[in-house]
Amino acid sequence: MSVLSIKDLDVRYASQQGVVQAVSEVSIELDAGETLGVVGESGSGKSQTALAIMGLLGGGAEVGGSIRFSGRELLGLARKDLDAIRGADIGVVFQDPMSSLNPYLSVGLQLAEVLIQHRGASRAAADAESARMLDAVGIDRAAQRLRQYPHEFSGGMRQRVTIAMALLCKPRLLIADEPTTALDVTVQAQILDLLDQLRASMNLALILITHDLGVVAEVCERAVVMYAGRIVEAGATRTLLRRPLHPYTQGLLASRPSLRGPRPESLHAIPGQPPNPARLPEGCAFAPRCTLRIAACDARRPCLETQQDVTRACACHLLPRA
Amino acid sequence: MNAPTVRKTPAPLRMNPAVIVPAAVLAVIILLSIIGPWLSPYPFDAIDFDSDWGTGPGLAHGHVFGTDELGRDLFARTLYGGRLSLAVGAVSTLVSLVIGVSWGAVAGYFGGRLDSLMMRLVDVLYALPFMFFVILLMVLFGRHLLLIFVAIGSVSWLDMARIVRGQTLSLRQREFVDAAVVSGLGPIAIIRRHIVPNLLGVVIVYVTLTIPQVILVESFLSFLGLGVQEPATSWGALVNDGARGMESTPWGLIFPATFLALTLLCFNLLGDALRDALDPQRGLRK
Repeated sequence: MSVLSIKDLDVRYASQQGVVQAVSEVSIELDAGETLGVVGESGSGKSQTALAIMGLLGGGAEVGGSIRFSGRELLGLARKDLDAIRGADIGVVFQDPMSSLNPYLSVGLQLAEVLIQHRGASRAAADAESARMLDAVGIDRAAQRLRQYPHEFSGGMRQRVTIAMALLCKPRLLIADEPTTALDVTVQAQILDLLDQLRASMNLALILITHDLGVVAEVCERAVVMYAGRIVEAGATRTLLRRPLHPYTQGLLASRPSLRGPRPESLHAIPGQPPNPARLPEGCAFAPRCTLRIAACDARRPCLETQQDVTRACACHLLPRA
Repeated sequence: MNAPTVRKTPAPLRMNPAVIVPAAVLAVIILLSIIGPWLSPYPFDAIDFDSDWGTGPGLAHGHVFGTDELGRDLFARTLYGGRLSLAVGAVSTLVSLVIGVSWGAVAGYFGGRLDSLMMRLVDVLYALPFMFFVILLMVLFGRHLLLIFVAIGSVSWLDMARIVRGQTLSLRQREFVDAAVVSGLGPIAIIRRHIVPNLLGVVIVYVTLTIPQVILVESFLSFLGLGVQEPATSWGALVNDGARGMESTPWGLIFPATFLALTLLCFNLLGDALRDALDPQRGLRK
């Protein structure tokens, strides 16, 4: 049984402009020890997908479909039951370690809290375990540093603390929502290495949400590319990045500045803007920006179809059916 | 970050003169108010017929602060009055801390219908004319000192609830609250462990503002004859009496007013120092 199984996830909001479709028909399967990258620009629905898994969507959200964690349906679960899973079996690392730690509580207290909550550990036992975990994420003199406050840590160190916090109860699934976006490039690589190393040693299922294709290339075996709330392309990272099928993925890859070759006049950019999620087009959501657009693109929405080599799927009319 | 020089755990109330001095002064005033009336050679409510009415302060005749216009010992009365004023301050602080903070934090954190319901109740209590409310209490329950506490207690948490709610609304959006939610903490634990500590700064500042306010409200009620009744007294009532005879017997105003002002000043200084001491980032902001 896969650790995480999302089927046809829909997230909608009622707004004054009409229904905002934030996520549509997203399906994801993830096994233990696997890393999945979820790539997309702002507003592509990647964070909404993550929030839906964590049960953090606001009261205004209408959620459809199914999110199963180890076979157990998470959608519609009572807060109490959800709280027993969150933090214990599912860990989360947020984007900004600056704000995801409480400035008024010592790091030790914030870590201990999780163990006391889920394991009923004593404070002393929780501190010992927290120190071990801080050590595991590469913070030295862990026992002393437990007594310090978040502002006494650097950004990278703070992100290590939040990773330690997410992993304290040995979860089976770790969701990292842009974990390196707020960090320096050098620190970024360290944090990614750390995540990858922990994934291997703890047999974690890891979801890495990012807008950075470099991050995906570095640690993810598989990746899905999201656009306007839908998965437009999915597959093994290697082939997906080498031979992108969807024009949007191709555009994303072409937009990356390169150090090789002559310096271009201007950086490549995908023309146009992502569509307004309250007024998505009938056909393919990417069609208005697509250079390869054909008549069918505006008429019907392409389905996510498995491609010839089976490991990948893409939603585009230009591709032959498998 | 450089090689970690592990800093000492911030001891919130380390021997800091900004805390020690006002705390010591307050302690002396509180202690004097409690035991003082027994120390004084004269009772607070007896007229000393041996001395002139309205004697000035002096050591020779034993009336250290002088006597009031009725010839009662002002030293005993000032200390005795402190009991009521301090008690009113303590009650209002307690009420606004316990009820006001939890009310506001719960309303702000849960939001939605519960928030509307709780805050409308606050609005209703706000809208009640305070004097009318006090008079109503007097009519219903008769004149009793306890009613002052009920009246002041019932209104002193309203401002606190509103302020705390506003702060909580913005705190709830912070990522560390989301982080606490996804680590499986229930709403009550989040409010207690994550919201309330972040409110401390505002709460302490507001409490130090509330105490002087209610001490003045009490004196106002007493002035109208709805509060403490003669021969019992409070600082507010003494200041009122003293102000009337300010030109002929200035000591009647000076002594109680000094005690009142000193107490308020100490509360404010203590509040300030306390807020700084409880802020883990204080070293960075200087």
